[in-house]
Amino acid sequence: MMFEASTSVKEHVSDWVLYARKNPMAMWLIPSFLVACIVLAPFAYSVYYSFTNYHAMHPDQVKWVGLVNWIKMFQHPNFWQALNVTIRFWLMGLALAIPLGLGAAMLLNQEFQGRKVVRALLIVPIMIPNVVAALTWNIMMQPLGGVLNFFLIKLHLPIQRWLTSTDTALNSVVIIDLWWSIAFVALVLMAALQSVSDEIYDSAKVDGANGLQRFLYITLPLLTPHLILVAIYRSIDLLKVFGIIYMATEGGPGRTTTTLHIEAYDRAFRQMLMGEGLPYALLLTAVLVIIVGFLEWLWGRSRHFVGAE
Amino acid sequence: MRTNPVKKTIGRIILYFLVALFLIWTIFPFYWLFTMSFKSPIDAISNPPKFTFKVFLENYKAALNMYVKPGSLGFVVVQVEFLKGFKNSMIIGFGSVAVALAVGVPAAYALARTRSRLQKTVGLMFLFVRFIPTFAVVIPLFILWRQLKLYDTYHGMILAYQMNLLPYLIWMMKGYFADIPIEIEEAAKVDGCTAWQVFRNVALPLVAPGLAASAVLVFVAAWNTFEIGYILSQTRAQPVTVALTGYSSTYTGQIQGLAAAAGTLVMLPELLVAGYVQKYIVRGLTLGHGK
Repeated sequence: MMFEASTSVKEHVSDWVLYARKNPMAMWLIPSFLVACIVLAPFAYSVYYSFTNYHAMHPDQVKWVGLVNWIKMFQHPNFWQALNVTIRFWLMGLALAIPLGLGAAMLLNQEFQGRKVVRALLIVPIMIPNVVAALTWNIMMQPLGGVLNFFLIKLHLPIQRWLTSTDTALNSVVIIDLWWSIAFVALVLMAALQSVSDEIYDSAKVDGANGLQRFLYITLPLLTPHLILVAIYRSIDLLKVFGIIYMATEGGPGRTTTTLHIEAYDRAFRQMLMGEGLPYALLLTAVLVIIVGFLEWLWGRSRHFVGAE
Repeated sequence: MRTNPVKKTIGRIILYFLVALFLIWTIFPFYWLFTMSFKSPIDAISNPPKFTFKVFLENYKAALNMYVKPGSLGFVVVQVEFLKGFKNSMIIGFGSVAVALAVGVPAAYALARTRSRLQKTVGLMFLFVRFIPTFAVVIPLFILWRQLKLYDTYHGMILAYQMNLLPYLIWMMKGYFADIPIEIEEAAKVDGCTAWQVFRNVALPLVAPGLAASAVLVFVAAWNTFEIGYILSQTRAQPVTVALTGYSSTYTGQIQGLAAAAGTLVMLPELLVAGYVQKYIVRGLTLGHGK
């Protein structure tokens, strides 16, 4: 869907004019396009300001500085560390949320008492603000008197310092994210699982396939496009995460949870060096384009493979 | 049919055990936040944590800017304009929903009734809007909004919120409009209705349930928005999610209860509508892909 050869711009425009004459309903789209421009125009501005020395306190002294901000970023050790944290957070979040979410979806697809209620509860973590999720887990993860450590003691497991230790802070933030992302993945995959017809399973049973075989050779291949789809959405959210981390750790302790997005915020608003902060946000955009673009391509391929198109 | 009963019973036990585990994982954080919000400063930091305690209402009073007995929340004085944030979030939420509906519903209808290339272009645009990191847009918006005197105002916030809300609404509504059999609309056209009349008198009533649910979901999305408000507002138009960060110095300290009370209040409106939107939510989650 994303990367396909487009016809020339001119052809596009004349197409649209013709279309607008034939169908006045196209006019109904104009307000939306204007609103969309509110988003896309600032993005263009971002690129421009990333080549200036824009300082939030001195907006009248904007000077073109060329590539200075960009070069500074690539030379800065904090950048590489933030990139590393961003990628690690993304990989951990994805590697855990998708199998666990799939597991939850398959579990909730079984017959059991109160299934409706359990399924309904799934949407609750998704609906609440992520800053509230971060607040909640922060309270539970208190090293002293926190309820998670209380459970660990009861289970005779070593207690953790959770968000307050450089060793465990990133993992703890991943857990907070998992709380709602497992629910998200499960919800989307549950809908997908229902579209797989029972007949396929029944005929496989007749052929003597056991549970594992049915999962590996029927469920998994048929779900692949949906799995890639949730990977796309999780990737977007994980790579541009801000609220959860900001509310839980503010990027600390040290720099262990400072992602590119947090770093962009830190430079642009805490240090007020907007020109310096923007390359971080723009580079994150590039990372997103590459990763999401690849997954989109994979998604198109998998749909073709499964025969959904 | 051929499975033996012992194996089946064990299977059931494992199933219920896993379901219970999953329930605890999903619900326990809510339970803990809720109970924490009724704990006094001493109970809140008790180690080991207390599961039974005396109900302490001062947290809610403090969060709602009511009179609190001096010293009852410890020595920390927290000045968070939480109630005002609540009001601001309501105003911005309803305003954003109104703008999104006015602009987005006709657009969704037009998209549902047009050929595929336009749809693909718009789908692509939405995806792009969704994956641009917030700060790549919000930093220049901050610059722009200060120049245009939109910074820290309701209409500035409502306008900026549209970048999250509009694609979401259009995508959901497009699906509902596409579900209407085209024959119904064609019959109306044959009867002499204009495009607007078909939309107003035929299509809109048919999607009414979906429209209502979408409006609620868009409101929830507006309520949850954090980064935009964090940057583009200061005091006058600060939403409640941002006001919540005002307690960040407290939830690690003695008065976690106060932060918990504020957190509970923030999600309360959403818990009230959760049951209503439950069957509509999946469609909005996979914005821009498939049906």
